[in-house]
Amino acid sequence: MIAPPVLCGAARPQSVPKENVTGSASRIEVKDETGRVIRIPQPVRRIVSLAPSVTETLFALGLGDRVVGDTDFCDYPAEAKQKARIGGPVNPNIEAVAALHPDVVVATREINRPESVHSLEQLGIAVYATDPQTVEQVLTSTERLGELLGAADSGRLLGANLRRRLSELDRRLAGLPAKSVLMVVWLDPLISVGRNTFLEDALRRAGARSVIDSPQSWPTIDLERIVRLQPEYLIISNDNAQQVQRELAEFQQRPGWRRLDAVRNRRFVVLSEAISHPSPRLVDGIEQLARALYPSQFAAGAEFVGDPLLNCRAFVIAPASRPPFPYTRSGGCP
Amino acid sequence: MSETTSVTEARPDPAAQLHSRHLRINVEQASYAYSARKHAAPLFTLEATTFQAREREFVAILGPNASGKSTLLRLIAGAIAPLSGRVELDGFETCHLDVRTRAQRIALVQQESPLIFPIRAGDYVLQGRHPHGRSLWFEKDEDFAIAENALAQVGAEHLRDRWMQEISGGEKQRVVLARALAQQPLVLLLDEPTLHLDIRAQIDLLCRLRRLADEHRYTVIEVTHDLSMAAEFADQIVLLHRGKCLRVGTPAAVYQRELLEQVFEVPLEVEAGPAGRPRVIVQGRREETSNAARQ
Amino acid sequence: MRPLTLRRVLWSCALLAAVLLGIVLLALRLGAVPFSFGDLGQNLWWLVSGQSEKISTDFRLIMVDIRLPRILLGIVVGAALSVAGAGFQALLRNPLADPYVLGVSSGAALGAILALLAAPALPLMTPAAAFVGAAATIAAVYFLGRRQGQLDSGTLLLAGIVTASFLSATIMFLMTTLASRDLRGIAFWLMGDLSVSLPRGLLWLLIAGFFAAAGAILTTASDLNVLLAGEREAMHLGVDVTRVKLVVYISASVLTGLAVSVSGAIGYVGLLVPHVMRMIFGSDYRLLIPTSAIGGAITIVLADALARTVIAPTELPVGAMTAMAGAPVFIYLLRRRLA
Repeated sequence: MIAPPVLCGAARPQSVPKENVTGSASRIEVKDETGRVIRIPQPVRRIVSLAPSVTETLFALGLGDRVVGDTDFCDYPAEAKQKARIGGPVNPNIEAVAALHPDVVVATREINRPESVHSLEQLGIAVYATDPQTVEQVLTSTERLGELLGAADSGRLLGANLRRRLSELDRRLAGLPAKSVLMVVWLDPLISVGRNTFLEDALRRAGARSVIDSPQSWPTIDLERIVRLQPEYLIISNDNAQQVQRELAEFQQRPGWRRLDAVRNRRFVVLSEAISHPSPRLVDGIEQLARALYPSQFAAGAEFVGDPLLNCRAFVIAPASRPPFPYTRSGGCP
Repeated sequence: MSETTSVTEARPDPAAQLHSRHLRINVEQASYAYSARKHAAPLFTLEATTFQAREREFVAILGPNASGKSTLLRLIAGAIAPLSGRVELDGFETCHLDVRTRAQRIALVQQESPLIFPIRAGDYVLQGRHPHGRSLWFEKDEDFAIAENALAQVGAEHLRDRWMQEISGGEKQRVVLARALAQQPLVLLLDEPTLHLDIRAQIDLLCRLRRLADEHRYTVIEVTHDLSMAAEFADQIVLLHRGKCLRVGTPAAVYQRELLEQVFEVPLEVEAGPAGRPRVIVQGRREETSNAARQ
Repeated sequence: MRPLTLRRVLWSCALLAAVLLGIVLLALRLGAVPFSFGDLGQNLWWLVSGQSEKISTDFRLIMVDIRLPRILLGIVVGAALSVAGAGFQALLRNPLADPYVLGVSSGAALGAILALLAAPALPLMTPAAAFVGAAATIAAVYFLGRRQGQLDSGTLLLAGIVTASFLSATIMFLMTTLASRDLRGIAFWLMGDLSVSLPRGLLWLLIAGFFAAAGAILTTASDLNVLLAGEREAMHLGVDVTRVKLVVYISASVLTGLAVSVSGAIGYVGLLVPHVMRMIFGSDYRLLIPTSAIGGAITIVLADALARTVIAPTELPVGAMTAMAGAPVFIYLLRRRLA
């Protein structure tokens, strides 16, 4: 069940708001996911997003038309590209954000800097920071954002939908042993995922087990250890066809990598970037991965419920088949 | 020149007697020793030394390398304090004077450090006025006049706008001397000033120093190992050998053959020259001379 | 030789101050949000003539709350780094010295990293911890750099370089083993970044600190001129060498610490501005210190304005701009054999 979000002094935003009249807006006092107490003006009409995952979430909640600005890297969904740009997630242009007169700015601790948040706070702009570290937290974070920003109903609906899909997935994968995988986040240097990241949790929900168990969030690892651990699959997540091809070629060509069974037997899984964003699309990514790892558990395409807003691309490169490039962005699974 | 004299007399001085006394430098049984570390055996010792230098006197501290000459000079300059005995300037111990007062009375000319940033000779000489200024001060017309004067006294007015890095060794030496003169000191100390100069520049410098002592009432104390030059120009010789002061006196009194041979460890001959100044003749190898004498 | 007088110092500073004012107006005009010069002039007039009710909210928000403090910060940081650079070049007797050669910036960086790890939510923690780190480094290098009780240029330089290396290694160690997402911003900090917004009180504190430390160095300016012509000779010219070196060391390090604590390690400014000022105004430190200060301010404000606008709305960190422009200037100076 949904864990009730903790609000200071109010159970729901719309009832009993703390009156703090600045101008004509009233504000509610909430605690964001990093423990900061902030005051969000109500109703929320103008939102600025400081991270691509946040933009995706806002659009998934149906708040797309209230988004007035997002980062240079926000390219999903396509409408996000038409919003006013405010710089990168790591170095947003404070002036540009301020000039948009947002009611609230949504950031995430994963990508944004505390300095940016402080600068905006100093100007009197409310900044709400998310910090989901597990798949479940991604869902509750999404629901809570919906509540706070005036889209409580779609938030709840989205949450319910996503949870249903996840429990369906749990059902299909129940009792099956987890497959050992190596999630390759970056190749030079070799970076994978560690504990307490949503990505590691996502892998787990998809029936995979990362061979790396590290207290660091994004540990750098050396090849020797991987060779000893011999993961069954290598996972990369990338939307760019050329980069995917190049990366797969690197695996084949680099010395040492051929010692991995997964490389010799070409057991790669190429996922869309959905899996690396802590947004509703994450569930899509989890499903893609599960289908790739356990194809026998899923009838081809039959029960996959894809939201047209969400992409879906996944490949398993078996020895005999060639990667079915190119792929399109429109919904539905190949 | 009269300008220097009038400026000297016009300078306000707390103790008026500093001017009327003739005895400038009084070194009384001053000794020094230094070691590489505390409580270690001393690496070098300068034993108790006594001599006096007066107004208008040219003193040469003479000795071979490592005889303690530079140490004695530093004691006189007040850079180090003697372990025993006293070193006085006009009755005040030099090491106890504060840095500025000392710099107004004593000027030291030594081998200069390399220059980091370019500077013109004129500005370099102007730095000699530093002891007379306050912190955060700008030079006045008087200071410029004194600096100009100093350059004239060393015959280097034409070098005023030249860069220090570009002038020759002899010219540089003159500019350094001019800076020392710009300090308007009572005492001029020079550490081996003729070291890298050719014979003409050496004689030029020593003649100027002689003139400064005679005509402008400076006390000049020079450290050197050049026997001939010291004999020719100095009024008083302080002969040092391995940290010991062997003799103090006029060149005629100090230049005794046995003494010099003991100190410099080479065969020498001394003969009387004009004006009572001794001449030193360098012998070749003893065997050769006796061969030549036999033939 | 043209004598240096107080009048010449004041006129040179006035000239540079006029240039600074021009650059400030330009910087106010540039940014992600456009203002015309007409708007700018009118609103500024209202601001200074006490009719601040007439100022549009946008102007107030962008200009007064964002740009003006940032420009002011840039002025202080640029001035502090340049004066520190000039001071270190004299103290270390080395034209290649810059404010970071003695490790102060690495100490500040370590302090900032520890603050980010411990308390990323507190905005004041980072500058405060960075300054503490800088102060600790200043003390450590002082004790290491002494020889026979006095600061010795050669020993000091070596002590500083060793300390800087050690601290950098520690920083790299922390960054790789911790790999915390809170450290993501440290790369910007290390490059030098003026986008931190300081509470007003801190800005005034910074300005006060700058004047105190730069003033202290200025009082030793005549002594520095003499010191540079030779350290041994300086004592015999009436310079209290020990005291002067200590004053310059502490003041220049404090200036560096102040600048780095708030804006990270902006490079090249402390090294090059004194050299450029020497080329224009000569090596006399009584003129070099004030002109370096204003020259540094001009450089940073200009670099920051460019950094904010070349690929708007993305902001380059100002350190990237000074590095890009600084390298060619450095090469030019090398060829003219002044560095």
